[in-house]
Amino acid sequence: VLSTSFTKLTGCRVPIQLAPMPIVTLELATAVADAGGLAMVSALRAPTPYLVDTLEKAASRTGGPIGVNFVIPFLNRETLKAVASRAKVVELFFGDPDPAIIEEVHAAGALACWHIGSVDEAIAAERAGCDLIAAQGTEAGGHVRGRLGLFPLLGQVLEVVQVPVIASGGIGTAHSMAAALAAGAAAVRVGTRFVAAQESDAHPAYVDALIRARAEDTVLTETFSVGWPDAPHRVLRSCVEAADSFTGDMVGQGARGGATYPVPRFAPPSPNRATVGDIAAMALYAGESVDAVRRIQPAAEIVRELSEGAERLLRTWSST
Amino acid sequence: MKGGCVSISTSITKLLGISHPILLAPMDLVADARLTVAVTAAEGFGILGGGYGDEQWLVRELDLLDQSHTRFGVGFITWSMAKQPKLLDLALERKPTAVVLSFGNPLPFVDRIKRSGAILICQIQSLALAKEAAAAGADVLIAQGTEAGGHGISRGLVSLVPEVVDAIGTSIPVLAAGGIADGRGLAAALMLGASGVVMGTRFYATHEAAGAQEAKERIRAVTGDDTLRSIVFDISRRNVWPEPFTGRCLRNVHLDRWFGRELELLRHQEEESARYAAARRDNDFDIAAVIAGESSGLIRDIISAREVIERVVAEASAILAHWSPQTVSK
Repeated sequence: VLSTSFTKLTGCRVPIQLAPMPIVTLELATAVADAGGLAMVSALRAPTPYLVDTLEKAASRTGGPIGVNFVIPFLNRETLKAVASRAKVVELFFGDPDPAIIEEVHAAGALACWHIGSVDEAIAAERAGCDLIAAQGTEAGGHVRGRLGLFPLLGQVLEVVQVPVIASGGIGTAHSMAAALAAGAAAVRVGTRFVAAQESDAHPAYVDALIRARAEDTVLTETFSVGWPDAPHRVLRSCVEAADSFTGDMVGQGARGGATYPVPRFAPPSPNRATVGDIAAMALYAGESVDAVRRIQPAAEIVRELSEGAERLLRTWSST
Repeated sequence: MKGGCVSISTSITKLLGISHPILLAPMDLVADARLTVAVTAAEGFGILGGGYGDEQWLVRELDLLDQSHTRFGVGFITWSMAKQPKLLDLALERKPTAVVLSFGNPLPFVDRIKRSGAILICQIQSLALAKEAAAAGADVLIAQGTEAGGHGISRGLVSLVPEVVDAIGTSIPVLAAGGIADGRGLAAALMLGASGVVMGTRFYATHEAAGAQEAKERIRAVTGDDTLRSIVFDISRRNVWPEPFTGRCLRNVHLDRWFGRELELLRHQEEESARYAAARRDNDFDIAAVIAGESSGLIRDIISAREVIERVVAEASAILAHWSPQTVSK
């Protein structure tokens, strides 16, 4: 077992955090938690009753911890109040670390995590009271706060904070997980691999595109910025091209937790199983780890592949 | 940890006959004979920065390497050296242990390098380039991530190294370059499947490096957030690179002024390049670029090349020992 300050703090058995993506279903969260990782759900576009229900069910089905992520520009304080007491970890992203929010998280009995993109933001997060930090490199899929490659960022963050640091961005293999732990991370955050998990809610065409793609097929862009401006994100290049050549204002409609929403051209929602419309022209988020997405797998198998492989690498090297 | 006593043995240390899997990046003008000799003397592998190919400079530095009787490599910017291929012959006459080719098709030079007995090391930035170099006959690959200082492309190291290792197999050692300046970086690179690391910026900030003291001080002072990948400095010094290469430098007044306005800079190239040339001459690094990578944020001191190598190896060894089964079972 890979025991780290992260596993001790969160009560996980495995130092892997599921990236909180809107395509995380109750089944995916449960599978990751059961496999020993920290499962995370996203509050983006999720009705509050749905979030509460998901967290409660996940908690009752698994002994493992569940977290929830809020994106600061879309943070609903009422929702935060309603769900914080039901989560082991509440994570915040894409906004300056805010002591008032962290106080609220702590009052509800949860651990506070901030997903940061710079050394200054890491210092601010710890100062604001965070219990742990996720440090994001530019390799990451989805919205990218980071401006540095993962390792240079991680190295600098570790020199200035005391709390456990989760490495985020480009990690999708046992090799990269072992590397992040060797570089001093207490855990790794994995997103793109889990989009292609059996339990994922991602649209099958999105998953197919990930399986076909190599890292060079991803691009850091601001294409899908309608309703969320000034927020660079890494997606498959193909969807930028498809969105550029799409004619019309609406590419389709999505739904999450029973609520439907329109998907205008250049809008951020990625397609899930309930999404209809021109899937190829929607935001198909992918990190540089996309090369490691080779097939649809049960989430537990992905957790095992990474954690057992990383442990083997770390132990083997040390004994030579 | 006793510095200098530990060593990390990999396929690259065996191939090059060195003790530590640490190579000097052949930085143009910075990696001169003095720094090359210092890195090899500390049991890493020094590589002279042949750069764009200034014959006079190259001959002088090769003479110095000759006199030192140490093992060394020579690195070239391939597309630039291709314009005056006799520089490669000049280098090969001095029997370097290895030749590093970066940025451009290595194929036209493979036979001459191999016939001389030198090991061919090719630096690549993508899977496609890795396959091209391996097919051309490279003995070693350097996978360079976007974190690196100087010229490069856009992919991060964390996924590039394992992808290249998986695709190329274990017969060709793969080295990691970009953003590495300490033992954490070396340990991480080994975990990614690399056989060693190539460090540039860390060696720039050493006593032996040929750069200006003011430039070294800037590397020491900044954080990793203070670098940008751009073509501003290339436009400013009238040094046009083929696509898709851009160069990472420390941010300064000049870069902040022109970043994102490259077309406008091109229109002002006449007066701006004159200003830039004067700034380079005068070591005015508010205008002239300090070519350095994201690892700048990890560099806090200007030390000797030997101290760099001993420190990196000691740190990496301690990390790897931390994960050893014996340590964990305690």
